[in-house]
This record gives sequence, structure tokens and C-alpha cells, in this order.
Amino acid sequence: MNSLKQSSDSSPDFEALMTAIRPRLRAFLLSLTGSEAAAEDLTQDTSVVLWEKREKYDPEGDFRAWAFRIGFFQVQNYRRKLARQQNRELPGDDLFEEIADQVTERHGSDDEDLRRHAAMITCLGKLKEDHRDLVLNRYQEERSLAHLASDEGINRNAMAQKLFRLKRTLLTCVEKQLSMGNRDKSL
Amino acid sequence: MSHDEQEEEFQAILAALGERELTDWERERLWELLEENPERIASFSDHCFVGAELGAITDHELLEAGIELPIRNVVTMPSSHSSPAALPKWRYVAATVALVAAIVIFLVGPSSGPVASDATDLVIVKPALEFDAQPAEAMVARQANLSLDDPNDEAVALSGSAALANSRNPRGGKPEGAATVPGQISFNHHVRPILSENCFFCHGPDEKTQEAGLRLDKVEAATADLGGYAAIVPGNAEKSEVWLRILSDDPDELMPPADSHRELSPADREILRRWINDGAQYDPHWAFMTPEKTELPALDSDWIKNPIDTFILERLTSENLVPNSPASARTLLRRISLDLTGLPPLPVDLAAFEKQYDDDPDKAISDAVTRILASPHFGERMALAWLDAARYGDSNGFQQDGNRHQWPWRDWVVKAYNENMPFDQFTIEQIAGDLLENPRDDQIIATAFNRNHMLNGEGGAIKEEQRINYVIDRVDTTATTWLGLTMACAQCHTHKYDPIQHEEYYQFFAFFNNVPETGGVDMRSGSGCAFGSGATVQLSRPLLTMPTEAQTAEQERLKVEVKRLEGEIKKQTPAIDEKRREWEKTYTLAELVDRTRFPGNVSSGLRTEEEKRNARQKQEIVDHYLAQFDHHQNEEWKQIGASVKKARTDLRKIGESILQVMVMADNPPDKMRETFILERGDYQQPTEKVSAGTPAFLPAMKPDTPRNRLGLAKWLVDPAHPLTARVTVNRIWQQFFGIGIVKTAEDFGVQGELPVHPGLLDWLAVEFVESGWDVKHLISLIVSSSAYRQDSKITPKKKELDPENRLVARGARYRLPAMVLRDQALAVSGLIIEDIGGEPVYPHQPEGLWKDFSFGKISYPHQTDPAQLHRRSLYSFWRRTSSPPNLFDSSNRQVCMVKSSITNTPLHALTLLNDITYVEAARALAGRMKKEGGSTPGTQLRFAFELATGRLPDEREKELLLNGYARSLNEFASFKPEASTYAATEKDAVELAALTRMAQVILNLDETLNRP
Repeated sequence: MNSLKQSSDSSPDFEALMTAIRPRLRAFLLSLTGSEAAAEDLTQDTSVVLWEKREKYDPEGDFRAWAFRIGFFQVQNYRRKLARQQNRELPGDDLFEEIADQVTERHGSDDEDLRRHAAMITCLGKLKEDHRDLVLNRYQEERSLAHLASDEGINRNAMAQKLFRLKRTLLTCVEKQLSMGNRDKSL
Repeated sequence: MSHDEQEEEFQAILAALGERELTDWERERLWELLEENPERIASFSDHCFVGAELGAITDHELLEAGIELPIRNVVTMPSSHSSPAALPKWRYVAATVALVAAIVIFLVGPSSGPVASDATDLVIVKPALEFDAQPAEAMVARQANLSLDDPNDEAVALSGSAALANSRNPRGGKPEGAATVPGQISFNHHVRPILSENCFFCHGPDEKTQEAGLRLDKVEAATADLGGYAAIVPGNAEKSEVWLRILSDDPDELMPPADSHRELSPADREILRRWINDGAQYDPHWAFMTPEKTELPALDSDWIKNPIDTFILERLTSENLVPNSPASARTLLRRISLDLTGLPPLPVDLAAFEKQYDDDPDKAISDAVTRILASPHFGERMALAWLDAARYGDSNGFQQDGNRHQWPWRDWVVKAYNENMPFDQFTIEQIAGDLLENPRDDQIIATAFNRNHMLNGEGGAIKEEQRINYVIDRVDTTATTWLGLTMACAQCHTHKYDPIQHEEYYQFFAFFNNVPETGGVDMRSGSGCAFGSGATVQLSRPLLTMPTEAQTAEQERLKVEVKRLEGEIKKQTPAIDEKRREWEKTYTLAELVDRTRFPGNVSSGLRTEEEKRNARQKQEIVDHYLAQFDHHQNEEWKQIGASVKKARTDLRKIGESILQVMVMADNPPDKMRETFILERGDYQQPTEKVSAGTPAFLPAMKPDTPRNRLGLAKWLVDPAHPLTARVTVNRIWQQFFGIGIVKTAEDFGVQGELPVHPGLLDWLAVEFVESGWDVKHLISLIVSSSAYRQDSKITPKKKELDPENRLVARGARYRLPAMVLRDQALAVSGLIIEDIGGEPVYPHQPEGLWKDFSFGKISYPHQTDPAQLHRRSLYSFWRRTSSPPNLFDSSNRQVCMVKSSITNTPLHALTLLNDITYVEAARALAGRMKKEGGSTPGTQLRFAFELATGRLPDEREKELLLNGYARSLNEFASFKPEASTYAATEKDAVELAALTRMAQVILNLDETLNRP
């Protein structure tokens, strides 16, 4: 598990931190733009800013929170530009602050992430083998939707639907695991 | 919208999230849905992260948790044939690349020259920089990979015009679904595309697949009472079965069904709902109605030069756009020259034009257009597109890929364009020139159009099956080229989208099915070209034999000679026969079958009783015997035998050397070949007999026209025909704006794109017909319009609104076609040989290419003669299995192609920098700079810059070029032997090497490579 937690006695390798955060940062930016393409571009932009500001990063601080915050500013710029370009109003800032808050709450800390990670592995173990293989091929191996669809002889939409149902199952399971975990702790 | 429906929509968007790019519409809805119910944010955020979370799980962790690793499907890439030939060979050039790249970047900077209209501009340097880091195979693999992936990925990976080319949906229509709901809903523009894409496959014209007996392409059927309910109830979506099925959450009821590969976007649904509620108005398909000149929009503006501008300006005004100002005089002349002749203008013409343009722009343009349209190179430029449509090649294709001699047809096309042959005549002669009264040879040659299909001479090929394939190819080519219809779809079944019945396909097929051909190769002869490449000529009848006068005379002389010698032999026949019979008896059967002793015919003849031998066997046996001096000991016989053998061989050889063009002919009426509907297009499954005819949804053939190809040709150019003129003007428009008014130039059917400027397309079509199908008139109109004259500068607003320039709010700018790029380099360097027509030539290409493709049988006849190396690309020998490798993006000339493609891969840029043709051009340009460009580097660089770009460099550009030159001079001074190799000269090697390097820079400027 490529945990972002750094032991305090070793100096953090900034590049490694950046590499490790990238997928989550991208997911965070996806949640604020609703666009794969924009999320990819903004991940790149944010990485550049992170790198430029690396001197300012406090190795004791929370890297993920810092990266998400900088990412959020990038999204604000992007939305302003978009509104100007399209010459119209976009949905209000309130919504995006709300999304950013909720996302940060659910996915913004390393501890939470570790617990979700463990739960996800457990839940994966509960999937049927062929379903699990499909999910892993798609998200761990990053095989394209089109490849998987053609392997199964169905179209992309149908494959997206299938994956969606599996993801939903996994997420429901993760929720359950986490709430059980909380109960355990509270006991 | 109910809560459930909202939830369903939200789930649908989540499902798309992370798998593909959301449409604008979906994204809008997403924000609305989240805003409406913020509880959804949690689930939304989890779905954004789930991919990343799963991706973070390592194999090790899976194994620790007792989970088996998935079966990994390793994707293997097919090995590519496109070898990055000659890349490392020019290593001095490769060393130059970095410098070239650096300078190109400077010159392309935002403050100089026209603002880049797309990303092609910078791409020319990128691959050069990346090349060291990434092996070519990896790049090829990556490309192959992209083509399998989501189109959205492609658009990200390949920017600019590459993305444009790739975003084209080959089926036309609107597969992505509408992203927005328009204010006014039009059946043709909004509804039919949705129905066609999503419903017609099962509920369209094809009766055999009309599921549930329902068809939605006709109003009567769609609204028919189906027993208390109807598919469509005009005015009431909620009562329409179609609408209920679209909304259904029962998978058995849902339409389109889940396994159908189709899905309606929320906007699609809204369009359908509103269309039904508005009364479900069906309109006929626009392209199947005869075009009419609509009244011109009432607009008054100086900008308007002719009606083209009226239509364009009206549309731009309605979009709140202002056209660009005209391009500079020099840009305009270069644009017109390249568009009309494929060659750049000369500096002297540029200067004169600029001067005249200052006084009177309209007059200057009209004079220039008249002058350039009269150039013999006009026909060469126009022929490029026509040869692609006609799938012209100099070989047959397939494994044997024998040579053919169709080039007289290619020359016919060039001449026809140059003489401004009216397009109706152009059509009639190519489709049915042989059926005209007392046809001239050139009219028969014109019919080679329908014999340009591939030809399979392989031993195992079944002749009848091949023959059917050729007829099918003629049908498809004719339908695509003149009708803009994808008729091939109706070959196996009734067309799924357009109203073409299965039966009608074979009625059309019958026009081309009466050719006296076998389906096989009827004639094979030795070497296929004058240069002995190892190829054979393989032809199929009918043929037009075209001997020269000398050949005819020689043939006559030899015939007389053979006759005389045969007379001699005849005189002595009794004596010869007596000795011969003696001789024959000396052989055993085992000896007679020995082919090393007897040629085939002689052997088989000798094994046949003398009375049963055929004339040829008799003759060959006698000839053979006369050579047996050991047996007959007769000096005279030996002499005669040798003479007759030689005369016969010479006669055969001359016969083979005479040009024979594969042309069309029809069997006589009493021997007409019958045509049957072929079940699923299978030649072995004929069903019902049909006779020649045209599809019923188009205007009928005139009763007085014959039901043969001539009647068909006349039908195509009937002024009432809704397709021919539209399809033709659209293709010509495409040549001047890079993209058609209908983008799908190959498909005007219901799956094709709708015209962006429908009024303009129809006006041009009618004008074209009314002018007497006058191609030069049409082109004059186009190139003298203000629309055409616009500068190609692009503003962010115009790029955002109209990336493909469909609205024509700016001049078109795109990379020149590969053939024109090569011709331009040859012209700028002064190497070009401007002869028109004749046998194909063999310019440079990498060693061994043909050999590899032909299993070693055919080798490329490499040449050194400039008359072979420096002719225009139109004349390069086109081998179908291995077309000229430096002409990227070209049609494969195997099947009809009417739409040009512009793609961009590193190989293109590397070819332009490293291919021998281009390096030679740079060397020659360097020589020209030194000889004709004045005495200082400054004037020499200026000279080359003007030749290539048509304009003079500004101060900054001059400085950059001079600096580059000085640097090169310095470097080469320390590497004299390399300089001498690079510049291919001993004398003044350092200076010429530096000039060559700068010539390469200039020839590879984005401005040089793009049509301005």
C-alpha cells in the first residue's frame, strides 16, 4: 500500500509524495469538474504548482490536505475561465465548496484512506471471481473500457453499466465494513 | 420529473463517470442534481474515487488477503509494416533536427506569421525531439493502441487537426447523442438522426429485420393503430408506445434494448418527447428532393462578391460572428495556386499580383484565376481527388499484384479537366463512352473508370466469385462517387437506413453485369515495365489495344514474313512430314512427356494421334522438328525453321509491348448476362431474376433512354436528379475549404451529416447544372468569393465556437496533401520536371520495400534519371500492395475514396525531414540560393523563404535565419568531410551544407507545409 504517511524521522521524498497522491488528486479534481479531460489537465497544473511550492511544504504537515487545497484553487481559476469563455454563469460556488468539503471529509485524510483501503480489499474478496477480475483489469491494470467490452463481446455502454453495478456493490460493501468497524471501535 | 426519474438519471451519469467524458448536457444535469439533493454528493464523491482506490491495491496485498490475481489479458500489438524507413540513414540530417526544431519554434512563435489555426504547426518539431527517447515501434504501438481506445482518449492524445480527423464518425449521424436540446425542433436536423441511429436498424426500411412488424421511418406505419395503441401518437408522447418504451425500467421492454449498442442521451429523449408532442411531423430526407435555388437572403454588404457570400454572411450574422478580413495578396495568390494547380506561385508572379491587388483586388483575383485555370497543371491538381474516387492504380492488387496499363485513362482525366469538359459529359463518357454512337478511342478509354478495380489473378481464385466482386466494386464506386450513397449496405439485405431495397441493389448491379469478362486474368506477359522489375503484366478483357504507328507497321511486316516462311514450309511439307514421322517414332512415351526435351504443346501434340492434333500443335511440332538438324541434316530446313521461330517470337513480343487498356464493353443483346438477386451477396445463392433499373426513391429513368450504362449515365446527370450535382459541388467545395458543406462527402443518405449551409449547397448545385455542368465556372465562383479570400487567423472565440471552421468565419488552413507537399518541395527546389502525362515513373523510395511485400518476386526499379525522379507525384507508379511510402495520408487506391484525411504522426514529420526526396530538394534549393539568390547570405535566405512561403521574411525572421546560418557555417567548418557528405559536394561544401540546413528549415516551416 503506497501510504502517504511518512515516518517522521526520514525526510520525505517530495517526488514520491507527488506520484503517490496523483490518482487521488485526479479523483478529487474529477469530483469538482465532472470532466475527465479537465481533471487530467488540472492534475497536471496542480502538480506544477506543488512542485514550484515544494520549499514551502512543511514535512510535518498533511500533504494530501495541502495538495487538495491547491487543487481547489486551480479549479476555481478554471471555472472562472470557463464562465468567461462560454459567457454564461456556471452553477454557484456554494455547490463546489460543499462538494470539496464532503470529498475532503470522506477521502481527505490518510487514516480514513487506510481504513477504506483495507475495507476495499475485503470487499473485493467477496466479489465473484470473474467480476473481481473485471474490476481489477479495469482499474488496477487500467485496461481500456473498449478492450474489456470487446473481450466480453458487449458494447462500451453495457460494459460501463456492468462496471458501475460492480463499483456500486463494492462501495456499499465498503460502507458496511466501515460502519461495522466504527461499531467495533465504539464497543 | 419525478424523484425516481431523477435518481435514474443520476445513476446513469454516475455510470458514465470515470468511463468516458460526460457530455456538456450530462454535466449540467449532474450539478443540478447535486444541488437539488446534496445527499447525493457522498455517493458521487465515492464514485469519483473508486477507480483510484482500486488502482492503489497492489498484487501483494491481494495475495496476502488470499485473493487470486486476475487473468491478465496481455494486449499484443500487431507488428506494423510501416517501417520508419531511411530514418537513421541521414545521420547528419538527424543532427540537424535539433537546430531545425529550435528555429521552427522561434518562427512559429505567436508574434510572427499567421496565428496557428491548429496544433499541426508545432507537431513537426516534437517527434524529432522525442525520437531519441522513444523507439519508433513504441510510437507505432501507441498509435495502434489509441485506435482501439475510447475516442475521448484519442482527442486528448492527438490534438488539433489529428483530433479533427479522428473525431469524424465514419457512419455520420450523431452517435454521441445530442448534448443540448435546440429551441426549434426540425425533423431532418434533430429527430431523424436520433431515429436513424437508434431505431432504424430494427424498425427501418428493411422488412426482414422489422422487429414486431414496426417501422418508424414512415409516418403511416409509425402512427398506425396497433390495436388500441400506436408507436407514435402525434401530439401525445405519454400515449406513444415509443416514448413509454424509452422510459421503461423493464429490461424486456426498454428501447433501444440494452444489447443493441445504442443509448439515448437525456437530450435525445427530450427532443423526441417534444417532437411527438408538437405533432410528430415527418419531412422527406433533404438530399432526396431536387435542389432549388432558394431566394437569396436580403443582405447588403460590400463583403458580398457573389451569392456564396450572401449565404455565408447570413449564417455568420445569425451566429453573431464577423468574417475575417481578407488574407494578404501574397497569401491569396499562394492559396489559389496551390488549390488550383498544386504548385506554389513564382516570385515574379507574386510581385506582379501584389501590385495589381493594391490597385484593384477584384480584378487582380479574377485575372489570376483566369490565368491559373488555363494552366495545364490545373487538370493535374483536379485529377488527384478523382483518382482517389476512381481507386486508380498501376497494379492489380492482391498477392500477385500484376502490372496494368491504365495510365492513358489517368491522362484522359487530366485532359478532360484542362479542357473543362462539362461534368455531364465527363460522367457519360466514363460510365458509358463505349456505348455512344461510333465511339472514339478516347471515349472508350474514359470507360476504364469502371475497370480500375482490383483484379485477382491468383490460381485459387474462383473466377465467377471474383467477377461478381468486380461488379459490386463498380456499383459501390458509382454510388459513392455520383450519388453519395452507401449502396454497398444493400448488397446483402435491404438498406437499414436509406430506402434502398435488396432487389434494387441488384437492379443497379445489372447495369454493370453485362461485361464480356471472365473474372480471371486473361493475359499475362513478361516484364511489367520498361525497367525489368520482375513484375508481370496481368490484364483482363475487354481491352483497348493502342499500338503506335511504328508498332503497327512492324506487326504488319512480321505477319507478312511469317506468312512467307509458312509458304516455304508448305512447299516442302510432304518431304518434311516423311522425315518427321520417322523422327517421332524414335521416342518412347517416357521421353515424350519429358518437358526438358519438348515444350508443352509439342509434348502433348506428339502424344496425340496425328489426325487428332489441333492446328497449333501441328504447327509447333513442325517448327520444333525443323530445328532437329541432327536428324534431318537439311541446312535449308534448319534455316527456315530458325527464321519462322524468330518471326513468330518477335510478333508475340511486339503484341505484348503494345499498350492495352482495360475498358468497358457490353455483351450483345442476344447474349446478355442475366442478373439475379444474390442471397446475402453470395454468388452461389442466386434467387430472383431482375433487370437493370434505378432505385424507386429517386426520380425514374426517362422512358426513352436505354436500360443500360448509357441510360444510367444520362439518368445520373438529369437536371432533376437530387444527388449528382449536390454530391459533386460538395466534393469540389471540400477541395477549397478542407471540409465539405456536408462533412460526410461519401454519404448523403439519412446516416450522413446534414449540410451546414443547406441553402448554399443547393444554390451551388443548381448553379452548376444551369451553367452546363461547368467545373471551371464553379471553381471561379468559389475562389473569387470573400468567404474564400478570408485570412485564416483564428481567435479563441472562433476556435471555441467552430473548431472545424464549418461556418466559414475564417480562411481554411490545413496541411497540404502529401502529393502536393512533395510537388511543392520539387518546385521550390527547382528540381521539378513539369512534363504532363505518360507512363508512370519510379521516384526514390526505400530499398527493398517492394521485395518485402512481394515475397522477393518484384523489386523496385530504382532510377537515377531526373525525368523519373522529379516528376509530379501524380505520375509515381502506384503499386497497390505497396504504395509510395512517403505519401502519407493518401487513399490506398484499392476502393473508392472521396474524403481526404489529415492525420498527424511523428512519421510524417520525420519523413519530411529525412526522406531522400526532401533532402535532395533541400540540397537543390541550397544550390539555387547560391546561384540565383544574390551574393549575401541575407539575400539568399530571403530568396528561399519567398519561394517556399510566398512572402518575404520580417526583420525578426531574417535575424533568426541569419543566426541559424552563421551557427551552421561554424559547425560545418569543423566537420568538413561530414559537410561534404551532407551537401553532396566537394566544392564549397561548408557553405552549401549550411545553406542546405537552412533550406531544410525553410522547407519544414509550418507555413510552408500548410495551405495558407
